[in-house]
Amino acid sequence: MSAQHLPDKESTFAPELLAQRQLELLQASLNRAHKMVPFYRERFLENGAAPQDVEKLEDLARLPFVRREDLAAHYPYGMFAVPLRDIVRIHTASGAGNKPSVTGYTKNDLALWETLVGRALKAAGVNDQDIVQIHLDPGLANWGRDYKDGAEALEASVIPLTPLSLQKQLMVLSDYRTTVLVTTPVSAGELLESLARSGAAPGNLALKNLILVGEPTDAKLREQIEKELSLTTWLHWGLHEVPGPAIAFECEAHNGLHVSEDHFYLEIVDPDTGKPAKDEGEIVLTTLSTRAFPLIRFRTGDRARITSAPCPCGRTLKRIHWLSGRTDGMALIRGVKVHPSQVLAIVESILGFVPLSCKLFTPSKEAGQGLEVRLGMDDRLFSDEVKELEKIMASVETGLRQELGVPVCVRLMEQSADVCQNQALIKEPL
Amino acid sequence: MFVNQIAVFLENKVGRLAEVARILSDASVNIRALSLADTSDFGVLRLLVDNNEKALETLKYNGLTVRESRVLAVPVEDRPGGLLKILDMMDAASVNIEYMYAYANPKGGTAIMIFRFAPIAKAVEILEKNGIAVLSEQELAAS
Repeated sequence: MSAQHLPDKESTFAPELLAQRQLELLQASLNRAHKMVPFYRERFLENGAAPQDVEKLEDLARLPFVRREDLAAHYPYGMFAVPLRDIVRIHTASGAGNKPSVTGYTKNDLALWETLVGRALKAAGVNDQDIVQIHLDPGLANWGRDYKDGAEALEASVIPLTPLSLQKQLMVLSDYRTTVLVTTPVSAGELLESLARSGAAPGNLALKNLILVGEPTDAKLREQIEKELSLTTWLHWGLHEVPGPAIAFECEAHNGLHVSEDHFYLEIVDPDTGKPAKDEGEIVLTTLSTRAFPLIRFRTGDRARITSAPCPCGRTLKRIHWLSGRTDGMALIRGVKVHPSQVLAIVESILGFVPLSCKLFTPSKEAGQGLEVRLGMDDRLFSDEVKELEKIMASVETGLRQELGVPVCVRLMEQSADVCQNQALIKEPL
Repeated sequence: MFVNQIAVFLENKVGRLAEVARILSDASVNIRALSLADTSDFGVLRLLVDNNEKALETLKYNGLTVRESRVLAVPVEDRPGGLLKILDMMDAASVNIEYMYAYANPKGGTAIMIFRFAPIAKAVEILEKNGIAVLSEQELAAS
């Protein structure tokens, strides 16, 4: 084990010590949420619970869950637990309906995130010798900032998230001698394909480590990337709300992602019953140290299998195996979470009405692995002029792209027999 | 003064145009003129037919999205500069032309339609097999 892989002290706490720390932090966080956020106070009241009732970690399960809908309902600042004057950064993530999720950070929160992202990068061997390039879709711009901060904290040289074409990204990757690339599996696949097309010898790249974020990866793609580019891949799991991209990270054992339990309390629940799941289920997170935006039992919608077995790396933090598929009807589009109802709401705001049928497909080849929206033609959309129809397509495309931050392609289709009024489901293309 | 035209939305895929022709034929609706504006994904078929009411009803019944809109049928002199005269008039008045297409002249006996087939060689083969002689440039000019 090389020195840079050595885990920090907090990652190797004995279970009892970790639990003790978690409980202390949890009680303080519950108290703050109860005192400062009316939403939590009311929720506790409704359930006949008070923060002081949580005497051990297991007691947390008595409190109700928080969902993305709750965040949207308290748009924009209703969930903040500190006065706005203490907030130094405000992030927006896509929500479950009309309104996005808005999260805030205090100065200390930002410092904490720097440490946590730094910890995750460090586990991948990133250090001050590295040149770290961040290549993410605009929809993941928040994470781009977090990775920049985390990598800078390790004193690496950072090429931050910049909207560049694939060709330009490749030029930077090769000419700037990038050693660490932070990107989504989809983008990594595109880069690989583009490299192969250009005929460049991958051996000429200085790239050693590829940090994959946003989506669970399939083992085959990872293996292919690792082999063809002779590098190591590291998977990170995070959230847009909680807020941060590297809540869980891989160590050199590459067998599950360690959850930063010193700052989060992890539960895996059965998505249907909400009861603790034996091994596989939905990830539910409670923040222990964030000040501005405490989340208590947040239903992430992500699925995972948990491993408590000791890891050869020496970290005592539990590991999750991130599973594909979601429990909340959201789709991961190039790492960006998109809810069908949010897409419909945007389409409605652009057209001025809800189209008779609106079908969503992802990943779509037509939309560069992004979102394909098929609008069923109806009397309100139709025009005898192609120009007018193209205008509709362009305005919906532009609007969605701006709001979601992923590539979008809109297609007009004949009305089919299986029209579902006001319904949009995200499906894999046929 | 106005002529009512029917526009039909069609996905750009094999057999859709034939389907519309079949629906109209089944309803004994005669197509007098048509133009198809297409993109890679979809097309807008504009039709002048002998019975709008029936055409609209049967097309809608068959699940197609249709719209009736008003167009003008303008006589154009059948000599060099005939069309230009009209276009110049519009131009001078800054009137834009969104689209235009030809109408079969009943006095001429037959109309000449221009097709862009793909693959074109195969189309020629099929036409020849069916005893239909395509017009050469010279023949077209002489007709």
